Amino acid sequence: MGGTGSSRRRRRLVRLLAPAVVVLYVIMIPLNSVVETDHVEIFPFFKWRLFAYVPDWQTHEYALIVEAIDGQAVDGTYYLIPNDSVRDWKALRVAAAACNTGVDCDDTVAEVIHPLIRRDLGDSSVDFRIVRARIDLRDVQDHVNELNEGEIAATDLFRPIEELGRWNTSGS
Amino acid sequence: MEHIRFLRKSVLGVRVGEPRSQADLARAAPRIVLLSRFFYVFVAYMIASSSLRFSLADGDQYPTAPLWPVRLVQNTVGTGWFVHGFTVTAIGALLALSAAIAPRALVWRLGTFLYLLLQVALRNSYGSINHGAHVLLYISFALMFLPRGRGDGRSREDLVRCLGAFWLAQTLVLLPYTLSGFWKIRHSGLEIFSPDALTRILLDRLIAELDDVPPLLPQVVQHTTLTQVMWILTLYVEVVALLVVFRPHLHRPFGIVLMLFHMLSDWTMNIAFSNNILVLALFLVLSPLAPSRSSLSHIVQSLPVLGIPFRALSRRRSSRPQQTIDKVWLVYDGECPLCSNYAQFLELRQSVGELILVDARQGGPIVEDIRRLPHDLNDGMVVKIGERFYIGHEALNVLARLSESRGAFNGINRWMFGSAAAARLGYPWLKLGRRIVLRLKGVSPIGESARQT
Repeated sequence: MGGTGSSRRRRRLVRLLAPAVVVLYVIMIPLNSVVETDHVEIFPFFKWRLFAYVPDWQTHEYALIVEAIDGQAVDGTYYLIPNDSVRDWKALRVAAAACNTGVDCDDTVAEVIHPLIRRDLGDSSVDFRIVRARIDLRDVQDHVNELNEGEIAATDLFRPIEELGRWNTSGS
Repeated sequence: MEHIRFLRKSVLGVRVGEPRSQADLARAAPRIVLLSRFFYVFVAYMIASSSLRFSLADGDQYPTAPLWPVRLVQNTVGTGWFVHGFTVTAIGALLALSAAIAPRALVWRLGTFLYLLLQVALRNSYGSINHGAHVLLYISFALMFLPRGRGDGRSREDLVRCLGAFWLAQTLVLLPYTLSGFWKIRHSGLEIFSPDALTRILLDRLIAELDDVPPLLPQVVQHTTLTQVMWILTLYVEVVALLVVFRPHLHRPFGIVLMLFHMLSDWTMNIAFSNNILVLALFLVLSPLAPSRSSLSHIVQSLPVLGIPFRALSRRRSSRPQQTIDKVWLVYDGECPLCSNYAQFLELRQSVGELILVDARQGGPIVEDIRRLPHDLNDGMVVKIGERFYIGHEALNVLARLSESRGAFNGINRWMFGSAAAARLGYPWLKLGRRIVLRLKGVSPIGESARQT
């Protein structure tokens, strides 16, 4: 295992660097958990904490319900969020967290929620509220075939139990 | 030699079924390079087919939460570089294609890694993280350690670097599964034993999926027994995944199981890790380190934890060495009196076959074969039986098991080194004795004498 000086240096580098990456990765896991605030990671190290929690049969979800557009009440319950966008879902959680702590609630809603409403509903004056809804997973299990066949929507199984606030995109 | 020993102990450490020979490893090196070519072709295709295209999200929206690689480039050259997305994409595709054509050139592999680092960072710079492409980034990092030479395993350095890069790639592919399993157990507590744990996870996930119901979900969540079995299997497969790196018999079966795991995740949760499926196929199912012949028994014995009783049973059954062997070649150092005496006094059982003694210093075809292996003859004697090489303490152990029990020397040899553990413990002392004797005689080591001649 002789070789030139440069090949020896390369071998030494490989010998040190390859295990170092694995060790670093393992070290980054607890470090990520220290600095982590809602899935922020030190790229590209990731804890891979996927579906680590087993939810209770009764779970909760935040929802954004549109009440009226340009003063016209909306028929039924119009859930703008949740929708199929993870980013919207995360934005709603950020707003809900601000309102739950009572810190910058209105400002946060204006900053992160209003743009989403404008994106979907244009510049209309939209009355909306953010609620915390209870979902019974047994309900979901019982209605999974109806969900599959499109007979009901998932939000039909939402049971709003707490209102975090009401707002209007015009600023009130 | 330290890293060769490390690789042998780690990658070849499993003693289930037929032991892997060094020749098997030497043959693996060019296949590892070939697999890396396929990997880079795939990356080039993904870049060209827009999955890994370098572009801003939602048209021209600038990153709202730039990750450090994006921030680093932004701070260095400003934000103007975003408008050159097409050029950057074309460069990325060319780099990956060049790495596929010439994997020996580090510049292409390094370039591909840097492109993926930036591309994956950019797509995750909008406040949420999608880990679908992380595995490609990890593999491209591991493959940077491939040798710059031919990569055909003809030289020891090539072989060690090929195996090291491949081992690192497998580790980086499998580590996330183990982490995922670990966190499930850590956070779920006693809930992991709940018979409906997976049912609840699937239903909770369905809420996030809203009206896009995964195709298998309606059937799966109605059968608690099925979800319970799936949950236990998931936990087991995830937690032990990393150990598969060290158990070649499991490379293929675990690769297939993990591919199925991703397919089922897609069909029950709408979570598709298509990049992982391909990487698992390349680096586990097609693993060059997987034995060419593997039985269900070998696989079961290799299973972490579950395989322990089966391994114990198999060890008890196979305590007798092979009965029908044609020829046994023993390659030893003829200048070492200890080795010569050992070789001369050794008598194998008649049923075993002919013992052929080869002085390593005299050379010959067998010695040439051994020189091509990542093994230095100064590090231990070699026994060749059929196509298989036994080295150092393994050679000592197999010869003891094949030797006659009659006669003082053979009886003691069989009694002392018939156990693998005793041979492993005793061999370093024999090796030390040889070194001392050679030094006292003023004889140079085998490699040096070969160079002198």
